[in-house]
Amino acid sequence: MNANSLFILADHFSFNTNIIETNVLNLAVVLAVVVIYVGDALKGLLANRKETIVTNFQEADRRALQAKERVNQAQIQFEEAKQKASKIRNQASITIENEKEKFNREITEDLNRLKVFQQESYKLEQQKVQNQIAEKLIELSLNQVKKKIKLRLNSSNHSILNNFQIVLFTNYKKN
Amino acid sequence: MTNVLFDLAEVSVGQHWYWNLGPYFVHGQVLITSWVVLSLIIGIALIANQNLKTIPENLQNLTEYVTEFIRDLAKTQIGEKDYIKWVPFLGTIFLFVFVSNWSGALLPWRILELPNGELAAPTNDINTTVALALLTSLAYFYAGISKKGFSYFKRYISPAAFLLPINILEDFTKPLSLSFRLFGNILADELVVGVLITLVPLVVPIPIMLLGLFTSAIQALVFATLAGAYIGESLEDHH
Repeated sequence: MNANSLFILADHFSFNTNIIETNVLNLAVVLAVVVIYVGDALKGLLANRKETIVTNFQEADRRALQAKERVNQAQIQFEEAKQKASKIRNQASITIENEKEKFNREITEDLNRLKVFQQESYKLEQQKVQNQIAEKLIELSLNQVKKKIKLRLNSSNHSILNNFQIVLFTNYKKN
Repeated sequence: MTNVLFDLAEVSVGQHWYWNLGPYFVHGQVLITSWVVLSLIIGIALIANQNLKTIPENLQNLTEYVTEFIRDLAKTQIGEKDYIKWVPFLGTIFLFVFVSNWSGALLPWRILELPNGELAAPTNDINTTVALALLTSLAYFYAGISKKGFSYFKRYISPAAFLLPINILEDFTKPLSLSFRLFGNILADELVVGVLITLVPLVVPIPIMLLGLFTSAIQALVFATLAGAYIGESLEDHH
C-alpha cells in the first residue's frame, strides 16, 4: 500500500457513539473498581505517609525542645560553676593574704623574743662574769687579810683591834 | 455469526494514521496519545507542586510518594553511591510507561475515530518501546563510560576473554528484550480485550481488563527496574 494513499485518508475523523463498540460500559466498571479499590489503598498509603511525616515533625520538635532545655541547664550549671570558681579564687587569695600576715606577725614576734632573749642572756653572762670577778676579788682580799693576820698576830695588835671593834660597836650603838 | 467473524477480522494490528514529517512518516495516533500522557504527567506535576507545604496534602503527598518510590527503586538497583543522578531518568521511564499503559487500559480512546488506525496506549507501538529501550542502552553506556572512562570496556572480557562475544551480544539483547517485553505485553492485553469485546461485549472482558491493568503496572515497574539494573551493572566496580 502506498503511504501517500494512506495519508489521503487523514481528512476525516469523527466520534464513535456506539456504546458497545467503544467498550465504554466495561471501562466505566473497570474505572469504578480502580477508583474504589486502588484509590482506597492509595488513600491509606498516603494517610500513613502523612501521619509518619507529622509524627516525625513532632518528634523533631520534641527533641529540639529537649535539646534547648538541656542547653539552658548546661548554661545555668556553667554559670554556677563559674561563680563557684571565682569565689574559690577570691577565697584563695584572701587565705593567702591572711597566711602571709600571720607568718609576718609570727616572724616579728619571734624576732622580738629572740632579741629579748639575747639581751637577757647577755645580761646574765655579764652578771656571771661580774660575780666571778667579785668572788675572786673577795677571795684574794680575804687571802691577803688572812696572810696579814697570820704575819702580824700578837697581843698588842690584838688589843688594838679589840679596842677598835669596841669603838665601832659603841658608834654603832649610838647610831 | 458472519457478523462476529467480520468483526474479528476488523481486529487488526499495524493500522496507522501516518503523518508526513519531511521525508519521514510518523504514527500520528501514537504521537497524539503520547502527548496526552505527557500533558497528564506534566499537568499533575505542576498542579501538585504549585503550593508546597511542609506537611504534604493530597496531590503533593501523592507526587512525593511517587518520588520516594522511584528513589527507593533506583537505590536498590543502582546502589547508594551513584543512584541519585539516575533518579530523574528512571522516574521519567517509569512514569511515562506506567501512565501510558494505564491510559490505554482506562481511557475510552475508541470514542474518537481516526481516519485510519485507532488510538491506544503509546506503548502499544513498537517504536515507542524501542525508543525507550535505546534510551536505556545509551544511558547505561553513558553511565559506565562517564564513571570509568575507557576501562569501562574491560567488562567485555571479564570474567574471561572468551566471553567477549556473549558480552557484546548482551548489548543487543538488552534493548531488544526490554522493548519487545513491554510492547508484547501491552499489545497482547489490548488484543485480548479487543477480541473478547467482539465476542462478548459486556461483563466478560472486565476481569481481563483488570488483569491488564495489573500486568501493565507490573510491566512499567519491570521496565524501570531493569533499566536501573543495567545502569547499576555498568556502574559497579570490578575488582
